[in-house]
Amino acid sequence: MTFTTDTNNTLEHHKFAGISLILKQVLKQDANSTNSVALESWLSDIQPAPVWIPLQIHDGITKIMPVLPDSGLYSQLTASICQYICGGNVSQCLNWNNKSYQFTGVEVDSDALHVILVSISANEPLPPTLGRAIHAQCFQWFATANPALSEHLHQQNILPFTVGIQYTSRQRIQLKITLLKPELLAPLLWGLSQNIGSEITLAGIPCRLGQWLNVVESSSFEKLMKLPTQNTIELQFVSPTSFKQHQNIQPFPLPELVFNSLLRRWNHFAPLDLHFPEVKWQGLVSAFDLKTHALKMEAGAEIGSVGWVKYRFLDPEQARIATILSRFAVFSGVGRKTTMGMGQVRIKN
Amino acid sequence: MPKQSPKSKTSPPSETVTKWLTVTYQPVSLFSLKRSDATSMAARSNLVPTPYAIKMALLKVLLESQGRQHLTDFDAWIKTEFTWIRDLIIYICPPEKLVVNRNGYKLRYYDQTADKADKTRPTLPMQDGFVFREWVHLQGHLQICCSAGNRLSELERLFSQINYFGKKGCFFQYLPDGKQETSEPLFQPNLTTGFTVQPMDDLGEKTTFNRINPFSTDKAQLGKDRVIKSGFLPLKLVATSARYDIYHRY
Repeated sequence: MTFTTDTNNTLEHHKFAGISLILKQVLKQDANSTNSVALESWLSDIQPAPVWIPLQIHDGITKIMPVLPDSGLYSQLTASICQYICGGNVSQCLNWNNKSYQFTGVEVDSDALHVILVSISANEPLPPTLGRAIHAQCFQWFATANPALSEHLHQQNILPFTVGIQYTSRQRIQLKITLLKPELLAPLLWGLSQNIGSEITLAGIPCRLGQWLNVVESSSFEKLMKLPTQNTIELQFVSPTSFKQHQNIQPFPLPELVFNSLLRRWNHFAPLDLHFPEVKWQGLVSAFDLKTHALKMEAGAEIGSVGWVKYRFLDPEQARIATILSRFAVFSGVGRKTTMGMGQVRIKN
Repeated sequence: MPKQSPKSKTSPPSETVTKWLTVTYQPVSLFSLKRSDATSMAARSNLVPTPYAIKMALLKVLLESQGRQHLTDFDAWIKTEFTWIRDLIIYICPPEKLVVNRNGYKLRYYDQTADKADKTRPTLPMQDGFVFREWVHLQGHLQICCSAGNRLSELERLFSQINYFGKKGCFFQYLPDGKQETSEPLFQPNLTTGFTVQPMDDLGEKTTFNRINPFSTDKAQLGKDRVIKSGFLPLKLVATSARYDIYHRY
C-alpha cells in the first residue's frame, strides 16, 4: 500500500484531536552509520512549527506528539508527514534527547474524550486544596493557545473539561485533566508544552511539572455506545462528590442524581444522533461504603461523599443507558465543581 | 459540435474500465522476507509481502506452469506476460494481528572467499556465523488487491497456484472463497486512522524480464528496475521490546 494523492482530500475533512509519531530506539552504531536529523528540525517548515511532547512509554513504545495550537492544522501536518515519508526520508535516524530513533509510523487520535495525567512536585508542602488554583491554571493553558477559546470556555455553564488532583505525597500531586471535546486537546497541550519540565506557581507555591505527559485513556461517544450492558454498576467516588437538589446540597449519590447529572452532560456534548431521552430512573442502591469529606475552598467548606456505591437497574433499557453513562463518568466527572477537583469517579466492576 | 473539455479527453473509454481482483490467503507458517534495503545477513523482515515479492511469486508460477509450452517462442511470450505482471498495481491488507519475533542463530555457512582463494581444497569451506532473523507470525487472513485489467481469469489462476511468499517455506494457503472482483480497489491506504511505514519494493516501470532473470547478463539497477517506495500499512504497534513487536490492524 503506497501513498496516493487522493488521501489528501480525506485528510482535509477528517477531524483530528492529536497525532503521535511512533519511534523505535536504535543502537548507537546503527545510528552513526546513517545520516541522522534532529526531530525538532523535522517539519520545521510548517507554520506555526509544532512543539514536540513526549508521552510516557507504555509497552516499550515511544510516542512523541507534534502539537499545534489548533486541531484544524493537523490535516496539513499529517499531509506533510506523509510527503516527508514518500520523499524517501524514512530510513533516516531521528535524534531526540540525545538518543537515536527510527520512525516506524503515525497514530492518529480522533477521539472526543481524553484523560491526561501530569505530575507536579513542589519544594514545600502543598495546601490540601488546590482545586481553584489548578482550575485557573487550566484556563491559562487554554489562553496561551487561544485567548478567545479560554474566554468562551469561561462563560459556559457546563464546562467540557474536569480536573482531578491526587496527592502522592505532601509535595507531589498527580494532576488529571479530562477533556470532553476533541478540539480541546491541541490547545491544552500547546499551553501545557510551555510549562513541561519547568516551573509554575500554584496557590503561591513554586511547582515543577514533570518531563512527560501521559494520555492514559481516550474514547469516543460512539465507542461508549457499544459497551455491553451491565445490570449492576459499582462507582467509586475518589474525590468529594455532591449534587444540587432543590437549591440544597445533597452529598449522598442517589441513583437519579448521579445518572441525571451524567445524562445532562452526555446530551450536552454527544453528537445529536446519540442523545438519550429523559429517563425516570428506577435504579436501586444495593450496597455502599461512603463517608463525607469537607473540602476547604476559598468561599468555605464544600461537603461531598467519598467511597463506593453499587447501583442495580432492573429495567434493561435503563441498565443499558446507565452502563454507558457510568463509563462516560470517568471522563465527565459527576455532580458539582468537577473543574475544581470534585466528583472524580472510577468504575469498580 | 461542443468543445471537448480537457477532463473528458483524459477519461478512459468505458470498455477499458479497470477491474480489480482481491484474493485471500491463510498464512500457514511463519513469514520472513528480508527488507530490500538491507545490506547484511542480519536483517529485519518486512511485515507483509511487498509488490515485488508478489510479482515474483506470480512470475514463478507462470514459468513453472506454462514455460515448457513456449520453448520455441519463449522470448516473445515472456515479454508480453512479464509486461502485464510488471504493471500490476498492488494493495495489501495485512492480517488482524502480527507478532514479529527476533531470533539470533549460531550457524555454519559456506565461505565463498576461502573457496575462491583455494579451488583445490578437497572439502567444502565453512565458517561460523551468527545471524539475526525476524520471523513474523500472521494471525488472520492476508488480502491482496490487484488491478487486473482484462487478465482477470489468468491472474486468478496464477494466484491460486501460489503457495509461498517471501523466503522459501513461508507458506500461504489460497482461499478460493475469499476471491472478489470489483470495479474499484477493495481497500486503499487510509491515513486518517494511523499507519505503520514499511519500505515496499516494486518492479520499475521499464524493467524487462532479462533485467531480473538471473540467467541473463543484463543487470538490474536499484531505483530503476527495483523501486523502493514507502508503504502505509493499517497497523498499530501495541507492544515492543528487543525481542518482539506486536501489531494490531486498525
